[in-house]
Amino acid sequence: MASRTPLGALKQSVQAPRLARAQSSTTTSSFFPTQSFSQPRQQLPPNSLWFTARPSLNATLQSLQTTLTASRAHLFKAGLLPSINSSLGVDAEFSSTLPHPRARRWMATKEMATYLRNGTDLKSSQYKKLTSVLSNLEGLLPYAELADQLPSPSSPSLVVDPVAASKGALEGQDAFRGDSVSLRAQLEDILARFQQPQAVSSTGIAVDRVVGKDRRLGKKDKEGRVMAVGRRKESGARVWIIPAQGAADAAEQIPGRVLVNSKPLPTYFPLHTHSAAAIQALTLTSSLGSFNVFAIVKGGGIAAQADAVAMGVARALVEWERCEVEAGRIEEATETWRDLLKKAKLIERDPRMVERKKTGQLKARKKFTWVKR
Amino acid sequence: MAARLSTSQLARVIPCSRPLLVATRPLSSSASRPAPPKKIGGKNVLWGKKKGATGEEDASAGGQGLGNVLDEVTLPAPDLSSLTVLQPETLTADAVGDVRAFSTATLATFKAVGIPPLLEKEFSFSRRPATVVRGATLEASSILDASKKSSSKDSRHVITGPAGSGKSVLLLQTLAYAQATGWVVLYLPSATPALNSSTPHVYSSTQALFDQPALSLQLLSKFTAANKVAFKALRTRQEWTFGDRVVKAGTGLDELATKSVDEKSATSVLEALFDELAAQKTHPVLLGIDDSQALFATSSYVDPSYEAVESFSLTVPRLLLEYISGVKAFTTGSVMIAPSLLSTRKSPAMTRFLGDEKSTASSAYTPVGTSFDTYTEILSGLKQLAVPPRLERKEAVGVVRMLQGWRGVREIVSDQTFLERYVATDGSPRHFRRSLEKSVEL
Repeated sequence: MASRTPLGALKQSVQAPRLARAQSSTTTSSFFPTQSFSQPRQQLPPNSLWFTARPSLNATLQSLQTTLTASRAHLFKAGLLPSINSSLGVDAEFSSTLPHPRARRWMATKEMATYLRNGTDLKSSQYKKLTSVLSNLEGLLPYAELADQLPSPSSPSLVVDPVAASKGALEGQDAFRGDSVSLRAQLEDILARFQQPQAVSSTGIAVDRVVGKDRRLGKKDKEGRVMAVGRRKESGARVWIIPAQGAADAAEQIPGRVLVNSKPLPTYFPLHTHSAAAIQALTLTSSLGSFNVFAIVKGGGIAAQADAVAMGVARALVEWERCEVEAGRIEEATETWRDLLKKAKLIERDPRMVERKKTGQLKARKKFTWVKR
Repeated sequence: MAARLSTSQLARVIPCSRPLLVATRPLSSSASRPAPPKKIGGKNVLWGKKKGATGEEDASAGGQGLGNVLDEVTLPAPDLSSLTVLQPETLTADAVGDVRAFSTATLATFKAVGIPPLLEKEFSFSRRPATVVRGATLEASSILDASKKSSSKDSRHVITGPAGSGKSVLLLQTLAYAQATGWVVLYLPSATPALNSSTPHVYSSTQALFDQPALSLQLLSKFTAANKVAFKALRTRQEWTFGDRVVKAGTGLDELATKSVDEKSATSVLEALFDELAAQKTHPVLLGIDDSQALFATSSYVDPSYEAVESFSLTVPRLLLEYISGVKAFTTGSVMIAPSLLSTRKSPAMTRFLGDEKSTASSAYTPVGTSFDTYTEILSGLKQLAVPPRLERKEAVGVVRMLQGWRGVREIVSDQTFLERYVATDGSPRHFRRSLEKSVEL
């Protein structure tokens, strides 16, 4: 049915798809692509949150909220919780059994965003919301342990992989549910997915994050020297302290020298306030002639360097005392050097730093001269 | 009990034509009777109030009749009469850390020649200036004893040490020791006035040097005032002619140095004095110069074409350099010089000599001048007498006791405070002392 005129050809080509629609797609070449109507069932989005700006995050949050409510309902039914919805969110009864807030680490914001396949970085408000729900779930762990030991009722089956479930698999969310034997195991499964992977040493051993008083403030080496670090503003100091052996010639030479960047203390800090500040820890612990101190300090100004050295010396002394107590050479006193120096604010790093200049202002706080008109 | 020199021994050491007051009175190392406490505002105070000073001049406080009204609320002046005097006999190895007062003769010498201004300020705090005996003091005194019979050419020393380690004080202690043992002491508190163009200079064609007549006159009067006894005893060996003035042989050196000496002949007289002192054999001579690095650098003087004059082209510094370098020498005696690290006048040659190569790395672009080698050669012939940079325990305790003696430190110095100050100042003598003086905890 080929036409001789171009217009006719055009008309034919327009008609051709209609014919092809009715027929199969094995017709000869046509100008417009063929459309097959034999389509499968329309693919529906997995949940209503698909159309939000951050579907993965919102779906995960919703799933976690559901899990939280279901767990709390189960625990309420078991008689372990006073109510299903807690205004505080966390029940305080078992808070002491949980690890320190700084120890139970969730993934960092960027890692969390990558895991959730958020598309962009997580805002801090979004991150806070997520971690607060996770913390609430974590707070239920001790109760869940008790509930698992009770014979009835049986624990609900929770969605243990909310992120995968939010992606929307065709089979539905049932594939992501855990077994209903142990509530605690399910909760731990959920939380483990959001927790920061444990630090691993170079040899592959999992290293626990140490917090609070267990933290080591310095390092002792084989020769008995203790090294510690002190910082203030932009300065950093590495300080080594070595017990001075001056007992033999104590009659003549006074032991206990302090060297900063290979210079004697008064040469490096000519002002009395700075040199006195640098050795304040030694003064407070009455160990002035007992240690030789060697410090390497850089960055910042003179006063900041003096404070950095002071902090380093204090931390080194604390570490030394701790090593001595652990070795059994000294008895632990009621007020340890750590308590003493902590009261003197020589252990904590002073967080104050130079404030940035802001746009529309002259300096950090100074504004331009106000003009009435 | 300290050994006392008998009057006959004294007379042998200091031969004199007429009996001196000192010869008739026995020497004792402590006052026979403690002096009564003196009122503040009395005549004997170093910083006595001037009469007619403006102040409270109302009727009630009129004049000295009522005395000092503050006597009731102020502490009496500390009684320092029990301090032992710095005597050679009592300078044993056990004396390290002891506080010794300067004798009146030494104080008179200090007044005559002048002492470094920092030390003068320190001494002004007390009615009875004192010093702490250190190990270096004993070392210096033994050097003097050893060089008592030998030429000064063999005993030329430079006192080295970091800033504030006690070089100037050591030189003063050596001066006191020398005077007490009968030496002639020629001391300059600073060589800088000879080189900083503060006195006029005149070119002398006979010597081909720049003459400093005013300076020579000053030095003549100072040296004579410091060694009155010795100069009276010593006699000239030859006849000297200074223009119209003729000084016969056998004249006393004090007469040679001071009688009718004018600016025209001052330098010649000074040189003649030095020659006479060099030739005589009865008294060993100590030439002590503090702040001496100026001698080893270009001076501030300029010649008629406005080029800087080297220190060896000026008469007085040249004379001193001759004795320092050993070109001229005293028959018996010693030369001791000390650099001053606080002074603004620096000498590249001295800096290089004292320090190590690393710290004094001079750039290839810094010109040191052709005289650098000359000064370095002179310095290389000197022996170094190192003062320890840190105080020993006994010495530090001595400093504390000395300050407590004249209430220079207001607080009770416990072991804790002592250690704190010592460690904070790393045992540096000046810093340690100042840290004690400046504390105001009451």
